Amino acid sequence: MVSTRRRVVITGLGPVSSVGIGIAQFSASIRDGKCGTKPVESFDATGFLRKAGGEVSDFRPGDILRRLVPDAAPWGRSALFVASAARLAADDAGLDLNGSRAAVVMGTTSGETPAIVAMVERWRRDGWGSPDRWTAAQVPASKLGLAAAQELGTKGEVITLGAACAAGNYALGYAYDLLSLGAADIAVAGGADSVDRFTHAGFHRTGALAADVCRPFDAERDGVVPGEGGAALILEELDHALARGARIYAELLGYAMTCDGKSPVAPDAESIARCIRTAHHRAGVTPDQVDYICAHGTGTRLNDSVEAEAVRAVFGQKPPPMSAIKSMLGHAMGAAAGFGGIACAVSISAGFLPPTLNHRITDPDLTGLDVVPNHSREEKVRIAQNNGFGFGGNNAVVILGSVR
Amino acid sequence: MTAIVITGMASLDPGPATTPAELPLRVHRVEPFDPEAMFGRRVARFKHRSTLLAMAACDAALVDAGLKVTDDNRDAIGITMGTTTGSVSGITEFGMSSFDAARPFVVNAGRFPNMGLNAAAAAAAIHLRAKGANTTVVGGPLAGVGALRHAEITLRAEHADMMLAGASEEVSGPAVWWAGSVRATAAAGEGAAVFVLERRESAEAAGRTPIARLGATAVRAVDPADATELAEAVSQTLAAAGIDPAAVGLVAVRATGVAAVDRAQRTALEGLFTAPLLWSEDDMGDCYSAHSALQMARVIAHVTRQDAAGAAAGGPGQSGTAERAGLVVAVDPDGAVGVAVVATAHDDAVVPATTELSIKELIHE
Repeated sequence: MVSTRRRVVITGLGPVSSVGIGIAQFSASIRDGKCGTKPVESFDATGFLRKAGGEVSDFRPGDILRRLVPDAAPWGRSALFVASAARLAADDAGLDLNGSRAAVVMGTTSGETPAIVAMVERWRRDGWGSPDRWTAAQVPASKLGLAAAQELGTKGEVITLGAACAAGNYALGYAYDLLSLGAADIAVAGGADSVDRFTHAGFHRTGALAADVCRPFDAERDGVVPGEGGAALILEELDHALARGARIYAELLGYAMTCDGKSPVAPDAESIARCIRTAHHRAGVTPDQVDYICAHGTGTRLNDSVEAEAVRAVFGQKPPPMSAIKSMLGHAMGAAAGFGGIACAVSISAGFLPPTLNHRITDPDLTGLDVVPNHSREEKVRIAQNNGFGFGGNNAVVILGSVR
Repeated sequence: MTAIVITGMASLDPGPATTPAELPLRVHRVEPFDPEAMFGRRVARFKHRSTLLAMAACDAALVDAGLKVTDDNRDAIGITMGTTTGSVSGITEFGMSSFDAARPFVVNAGRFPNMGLNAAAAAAAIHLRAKGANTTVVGGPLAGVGALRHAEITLRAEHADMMLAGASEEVSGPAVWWAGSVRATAAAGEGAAVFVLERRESAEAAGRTPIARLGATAVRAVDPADATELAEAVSQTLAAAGIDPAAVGLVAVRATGVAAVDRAQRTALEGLFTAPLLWSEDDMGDCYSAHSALQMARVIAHVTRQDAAGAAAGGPGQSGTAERAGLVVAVDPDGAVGVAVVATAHDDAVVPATTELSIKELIHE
């Protein structure tokens, strides 16, 4: 742990999710255990045997955005998610960042896949040729960070990161590094992705898609429900937040990244355990101090058992309560760890553990797990751990705590 | 503040423009490039070209640095690779069959990882068994500079001891058709360049000789048609690197194809520097995601030559005015600028304690 670093706190939350838009709705939903998944509507799912998705079906970016005009420029769905999330987070923090040097750091798994799907569909139908310009201009995933920066009017660092389904934690972590090293005083960090045909087909083909709902850590879990959305958190240097009398949800204590360097798809318990241990060390906490783990918890057989194995390797046979919000939201990919970060911040500030929904019997092979089944639980959370793991062996764990 | 040095680099540069039979356009390709011979048939078959180019550049950069990935260091070696949307060809090949209405889920599962933007960085990590921080910077024309930026912060925050940072771009049917519809730039090019970055003291402790110092990096939201904003971003990054504009010997820049943006960057850079501007379109086309990384390799080679010339003249050029630095400027017409400053390996500029401090000082002047 580097002791000379500046402290970083979370002062604004902006979720755009299948269970709610804005922090009030989102918090109420994850407290009440609302399920946001249902058969997908954003693409024609004819022929797919499994159709569940976690779409943000009531997403109207024009109602949220103040500077970006959704149809005036070729912004993709993911860019609009993340710009809307950034706006909600800045409003929640009571910050006008127009003209400021605030950093914008966004993560994503695949970026603007719906636009690429539309290009490919046309190539399939009409043969090779120039794609539709408006669609093609939405494709660069780098526009996620730019969309958020332009919506807020920031003139500081802007960067978009890819780290598969852990990308949201990579964004939170990088933003934390910028603030703690003194390269910025405020950062807007999070991520986004959109439900799309190709990703659905990929999970389907690999047998990783749930039949109806996502049941993480359940004996009968059968896979993920692909989701979407945008998540943004305002990170602020502690003194900066105190000086302006900001409401502080939680402190970001530190994070770690590891890479499996083994399989493009299968997770690795040893590498995940190393990530958790390193995150604890960097954050200056010990396993016994962790009150809550927001699991990566995708609901596939392999992912959940490897995650449980890694957690037990670090925490012993009786780990702290560990729930999976993907049971409610679906797997929002690049936004997923951002939603996890928001859930951790809320668990600390509001004092409850979000539930693992759709839960029947905890997998007997995953002994000792308390997944907070089906109902949230009032409990004081001082230290929370947010897990994020992705394809390609990209792991990142973020540690949050109450401000002391 | 700890200096970040470059101890190895490699680039796979594209050749002169050709018109391959399968494409109706002129392109700059890396030739010859035989991924099957390098990585075996299975890997070559399942990875897309931008991944394979990135892997080859990582291998060559490690050789250049004299760095071997072993059980003793693999947890401390990270990778940051720049891209724009992963691989358009990789996603196209994977998804095309999902339009079969009867069985849309019959796609090639082995190519599923190609959907992720992190395909190249992940594949390189698996190939090298490098288990440190592994990230992808999605940056369009800023991707190479963004990767250097991310690697710099990752090293300063001590998440890793060595970072392989770079970017790749591929020429393929889907990628070229896509590029042609959204960019009015030079003929599409491809390539990859990767740099080995370390904190100076750990490089020296390991006996690796720096070839250059990474002075400072920035990726910033700007109005790309505003010359003042561009000039401010460049001069603040130089100040953070402790480099006087007069000490800059070469400035690499990319033509964006947007007239107002290209005018603004020319105005900004010609106002700041007497050094020549290096436009690389004539010999490598527009290598988009890889462009700034490929240019960085050229700038470092130039700075290294300056360094050697300075040494021959009686000592490494460290005085305020001697040429001892170069930079790459990358502008994304969608609203961002990237700047990376490199200086000679011997450069011992007094670098401010933090980037933020130097920016504040500059503003207060």
